[in-house]
Amino acid sequence: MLITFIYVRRWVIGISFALAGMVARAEFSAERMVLVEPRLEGAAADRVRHWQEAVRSEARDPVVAFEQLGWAYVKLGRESWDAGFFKLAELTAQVMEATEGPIPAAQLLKGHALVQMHRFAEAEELAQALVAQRGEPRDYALLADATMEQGKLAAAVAACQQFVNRYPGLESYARVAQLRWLHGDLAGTIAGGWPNGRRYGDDVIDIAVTAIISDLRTNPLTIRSADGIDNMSVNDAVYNKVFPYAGTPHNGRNYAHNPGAKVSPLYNLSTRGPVGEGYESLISGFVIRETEPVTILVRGLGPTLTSFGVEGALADPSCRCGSRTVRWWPRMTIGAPRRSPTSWPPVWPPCRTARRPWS
Amino acid sequence: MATGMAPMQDSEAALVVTLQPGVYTTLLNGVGGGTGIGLLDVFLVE
Repeated sequence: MLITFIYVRRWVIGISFALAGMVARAEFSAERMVLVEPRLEGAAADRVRHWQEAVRSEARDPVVAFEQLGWAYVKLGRESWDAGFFKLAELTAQVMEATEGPIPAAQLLKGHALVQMHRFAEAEELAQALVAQRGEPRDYALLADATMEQGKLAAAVAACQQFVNRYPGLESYARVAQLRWLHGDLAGTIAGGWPNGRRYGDDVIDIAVTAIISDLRTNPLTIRSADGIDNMSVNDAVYNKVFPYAGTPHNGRNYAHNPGAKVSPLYNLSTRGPVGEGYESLISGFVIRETEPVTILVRGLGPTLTSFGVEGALADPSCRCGSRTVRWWPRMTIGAPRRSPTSWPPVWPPCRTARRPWS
Repeated sequence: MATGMAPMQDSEAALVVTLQPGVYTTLLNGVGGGTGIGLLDVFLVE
């Protein structure tokens, strides 16, 4: 039995519940809070413990701490297959609403928790309200999930399209793939699937045999193959842990799944904008992912823009180029390292401030 | 190094560097605190 008590300072709220189905209520004194941590291991469980501690210590904004704790519960529920964590996420959202009112962050969290608990109609109602109120990408994702699970495919497609338009990434493409599959568009479904990289249109016998001989109790799954089974030997994508266990598609920008591929064909990067001092510098960034050093040309133009009809062009530009180290603030100059952890802009040697260095 | 991409104006800035793989940031400022619309370019030099 897992019992969690969540307390909020000004409004004494007691929440207790048992995963076995026993529900009880209790009242707590104003300064008490007890969090019984689940005895689980892994990054998701660690994240739950981290945000539980943040809530308990009040070291962070309580809204942020509760929100992050709720999402940590959702993630842990997906990974552990323990639906009780989804209930915890819902209760966490209720705490947020009790203290802050029906804020979107709480509604979104609650909606996703409801989807995980297959309370799709309630989730759809929340999603509709969120879309009408603000229409952020994850609001449409929630609406797509809630409607798709109820078989409202037209509504799901419309919501998913809005999600893709606003957030073209793994989360949206994965939903597109699932919708295409539901529509019978197997050719249009992005390759992937369970187990072991199967695609939606592949031989179900192979899938069944693989499922039987593999060990599905481990995380990640231990996939085994056999004679006549043409599974792939290695997964190169993260697989969802809920039906239909689809592999997350490649986003076309991350080449990590194919390190042998030629990457980073950067030829030109150009940024135009107002230039000021300090924080108002015109800043651009790039990544060199080659294995060998690369020679680049950095130009800072101003007067030339006037000939193209740009008014108010920078009269005397000066450009710099530096390498960012692990964190944002510690920076290192080219050639001569110099850390400036607390200053911006970073202090770079004048020799790297280039003005007419070549012809 | 002749790249054929030299700025058209003498007062404009340019820098040719050979960089190791990594993450880089470029900044454009006005000399002496000057302000205005600027264009920051990065080209790969073969």
